[in-house]
Amino acid sequence: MKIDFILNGNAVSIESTYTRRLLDVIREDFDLTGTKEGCAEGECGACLVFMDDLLVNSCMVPMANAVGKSVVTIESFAQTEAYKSIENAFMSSGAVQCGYCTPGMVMAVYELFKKYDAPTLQQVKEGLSGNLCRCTGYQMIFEAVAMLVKEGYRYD
Amino acid sequence: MINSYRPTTVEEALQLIHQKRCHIFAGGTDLMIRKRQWQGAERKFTQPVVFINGIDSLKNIEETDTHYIIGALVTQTEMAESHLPEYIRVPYAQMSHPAIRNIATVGGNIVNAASVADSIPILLALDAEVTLQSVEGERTIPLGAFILGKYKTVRKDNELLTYIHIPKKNYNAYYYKKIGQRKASILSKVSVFIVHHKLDEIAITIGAVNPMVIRSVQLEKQFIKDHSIPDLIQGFKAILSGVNDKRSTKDYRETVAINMIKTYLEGVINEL
Amino acid sequence: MKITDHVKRLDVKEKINGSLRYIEDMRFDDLHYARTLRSTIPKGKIISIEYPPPEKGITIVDASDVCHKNEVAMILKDMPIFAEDTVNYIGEPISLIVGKDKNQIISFINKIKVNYEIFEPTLTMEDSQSKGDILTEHTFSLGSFENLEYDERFERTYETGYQEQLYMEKQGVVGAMEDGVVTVYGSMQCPYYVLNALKYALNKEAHEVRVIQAPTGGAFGGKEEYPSLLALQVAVATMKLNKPVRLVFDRREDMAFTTKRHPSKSYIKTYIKDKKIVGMDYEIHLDAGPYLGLSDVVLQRAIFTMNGCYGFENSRVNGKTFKTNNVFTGAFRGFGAPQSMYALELHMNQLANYLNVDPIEFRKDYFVHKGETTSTGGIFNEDIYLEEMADALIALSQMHHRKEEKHIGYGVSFIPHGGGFTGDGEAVHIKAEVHLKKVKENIYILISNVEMGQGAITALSKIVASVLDIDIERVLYAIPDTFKVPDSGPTVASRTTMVVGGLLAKAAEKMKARMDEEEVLIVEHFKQPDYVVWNQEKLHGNAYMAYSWSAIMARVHVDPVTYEVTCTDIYGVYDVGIPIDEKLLLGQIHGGVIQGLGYGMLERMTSEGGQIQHHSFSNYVIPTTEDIPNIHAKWIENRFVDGPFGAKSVGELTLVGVAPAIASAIEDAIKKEIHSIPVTPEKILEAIHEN
Repeated sequence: MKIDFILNGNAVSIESTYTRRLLDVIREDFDLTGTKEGCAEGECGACLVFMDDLLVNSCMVPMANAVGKSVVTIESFAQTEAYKSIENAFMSSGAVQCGYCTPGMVMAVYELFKKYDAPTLQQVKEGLSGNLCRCTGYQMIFEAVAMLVKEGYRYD
Repeated sequence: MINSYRPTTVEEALQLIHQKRCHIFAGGTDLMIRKRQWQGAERKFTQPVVFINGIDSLKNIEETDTHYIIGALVTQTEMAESHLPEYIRVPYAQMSHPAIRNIATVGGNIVNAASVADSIPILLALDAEVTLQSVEGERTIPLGAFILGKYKTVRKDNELLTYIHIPKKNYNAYYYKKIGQRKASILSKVSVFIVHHKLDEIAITIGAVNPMVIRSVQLEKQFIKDHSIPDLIQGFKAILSGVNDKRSTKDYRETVAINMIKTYLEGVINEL
Repeated sequence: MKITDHVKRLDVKEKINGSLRYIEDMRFDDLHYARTLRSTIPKGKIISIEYPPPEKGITIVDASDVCHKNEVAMILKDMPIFAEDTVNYIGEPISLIVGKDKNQIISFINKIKVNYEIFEPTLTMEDSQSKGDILTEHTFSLGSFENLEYDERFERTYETGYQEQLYMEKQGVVGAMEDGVVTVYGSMQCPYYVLNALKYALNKEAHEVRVIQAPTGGAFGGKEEYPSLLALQVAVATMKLNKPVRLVFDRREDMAFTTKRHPSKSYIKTYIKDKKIVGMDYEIHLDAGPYLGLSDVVLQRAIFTMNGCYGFENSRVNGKTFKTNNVFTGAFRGFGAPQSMYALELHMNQLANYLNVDPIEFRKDYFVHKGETTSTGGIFNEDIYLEEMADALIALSQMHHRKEEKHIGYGVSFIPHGGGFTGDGEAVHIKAEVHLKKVKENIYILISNVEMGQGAITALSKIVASVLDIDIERVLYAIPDTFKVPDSGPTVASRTTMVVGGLLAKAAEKMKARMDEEEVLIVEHFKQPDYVVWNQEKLHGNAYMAYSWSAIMARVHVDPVTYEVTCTDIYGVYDVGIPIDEKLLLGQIHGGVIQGLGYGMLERMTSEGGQIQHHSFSNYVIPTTEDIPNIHAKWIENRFVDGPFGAKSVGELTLVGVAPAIASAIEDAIKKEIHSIPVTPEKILEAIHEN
């Protein structure tokens, strides 16, 4: 059947089933591979996207639940000013090792600032608790967020 | 080929599920996992699938003089960020992790009726009722009567859970602790929820130990009368029947549930 | 640039913005997908396989398609590419079902029926021992236990379970025929291991097969030997179909059926006289699964390290690997040392507690020094600063300013970790070759060591740029491709910076004089230092070229109501020679500490009936952001003469000492002994209930 939604700001229409995962549609139909499959059960956060401005695990979203929604992936988010500061903080802090969790982590960091103007360490830990990283031990990711707080980073 | 539907009104949904036995799909956080076969391949559904997330009328939190009325499709995030009392908001804020809370629904967690579902101990302690609708009519029953066992409820195939009614109470304190294998984003291996007004009114539930959430109104009434923690503990011990599984042990679940109740209530009594 | 300059990592921009394509993201024309048909029983004979009628679009690839030898060449060749007559573990691959439509493949595979004659499997090491299924065994000793005078014997048994690498990117490879060459792309640590396996099984020459590393999303040892199996399978498939074939595991497949850390049992007997250790007798058993794989090498690292940081007058070490029908086990950061060092260091703390002495002061009497004999009869050739590290740890943790706190405990560990292959492995087996090539303004690093997250590109580029004193931007790292880079060995054993970086530093020194030439190629080969003397038959001599060291202290809180453990602080003092880059060192420390914390207190993985029980992210729990302690790390300088700028190994060391420190801290908090990891709240309760 035909499914319409908005992907990275563009109205798109695809031939698909309601039961396919948003993750597969993004990756296979649109070749947007910055969204990764880590665990396929909503635990790791590698597949995070924004759907109507809410952070969601795209591995858990059937296309039926994306109908008419506005989906933003890392590829589009990476074009924004809001992204540039996060990228810079991640690079300066050493927050990236193998990189597989990173796009999802970046999205979750942005969402964190939606909730808090200057998140405390405990709020950062809670806010990123759905993003697993096996390389960094998270410490430098916390440092990246602390750097953003120091710079007065704001969600917009 | 399995048919799937995306109704946008309750009536439309009820018509669909009346005709055939269907999978009803809300947020999908459980079904997406249970029905998977291979990444990139279709989920393995054996019945038609009805996606109800397009029904906007079930996405509101309303209140009357006596009740909060929660639409079945309200998300856990919406619960956590609502104006509901803290003893409801805080447990919802501790479920899963932020991104899952954005899609997991209040109704889905109840209908799924997993023994580890984190919302059931809360709603059961609060005397919540659920409304089930079908083309034949509707009924509103206590949550305790709705759930029959692990993954088992009294919902008929043609019924849709539409609303959750939580009575307003004047509780002034609560205790909630869920314990998992790690500190966040984890299924419970045991949880305890206690909500009370001084010691005049109290409700206590234990989650993830028995196949069903434990609550004993009889023990609560007795405790209000005699404030005897040893008797209360004795009473709970008699009904606990935990299991050894991948996540924990019977001994741990039972001991810790008791420890938590005992420690909290001793604190309450000391402060009185 | 100078080696002390700070640099930003060179490989992260594309990772952050998502544009880097891992194997699952790469595009191939006419790509086919493969799904594995697996054994569902732990041991048996395949009587027949009932495939559904042939379907257009579906190809079955199995042992009959392997053109030369159905064997995966590792150390032995005991593992088949596809099971033929027998299966030896649950999940063993029988065939690949290949096609373009995943839904068609999955529906086809669901209809296949395999008929077995079921045999009694061996599921425990005890059972294996009683059947005499010991795969390998080694013993060595110093001094003698005959006529040993002692007052008492302190005896304990320690157990560890599986640990899953849980790299975020699952296993994945693509096989493709490119200009008549069988080409394999994949997420891997060791392109030349894969190449050698392809050459052997397919009977090909080096110019007929090609291996190209794809960006690798974490590995931790899990992509050391295992990708060879997958590469062979897709190579056979692509040769049959003449189409590119991608095999990427589902997470549950990856967790249930790929190699993991060996479960172990250690038996330690300590002989005590006048409150001093006069002898220690160790025995360690590892569950290897059905095939030897790298298990004997893992065992060797476990036993060569078994004396830890100590020299005892008398010691005896025995190690065995056992054949079972559990999932097959293999490389994982630490490579045997996490098991043996957990046992030894917890034992040392329990001994100190038993003798009622301070665990750090207690250790000092036995610390090894330069010039002394190693447990394998070699000589420590390097300066060793264990006393200084102990004092630094005491200062860092402000140990002498502690207040008495309820439910709080502390535990320590001291760990050596040898860099590079054991014994003469670097010279005899690996024979690393590196190329450094100058083309106009740029210097190219041509090696087979991969970037898998650890920062190899940045560290190695920095070494070269520093020797040449040029901008790091002028140094370019070539993606490992066996058509383009020489065999500088596998990306394992904490050898990349120390050994390969050392060769690159030497090459850069030679390049220095020729920087005015347009095109220069410098070829550098590994030469074994004279001080390394090794007899592999007798396991005698210098087991390692140089050791890195760590001293760790853990602080934990144990909740008296729920028995939940919170590790609040990890203090660590490290001797890695010199950090090539402080940020990269800290990145390894933080990551290693947290993986070690998982090993010590969270990550429980069990097997029942040969089936891994914890095979998903929801029941195998690794640390989240909320499980993270404060990590206080400090390093001391102790340059190693043959390391680049004095650097020694880093990667594995950072994990090894964490579990015993945390386990000991928990014992300190609850005043009970617990003899296995992970130390879960359930075990704590059990220990408390014992009295």
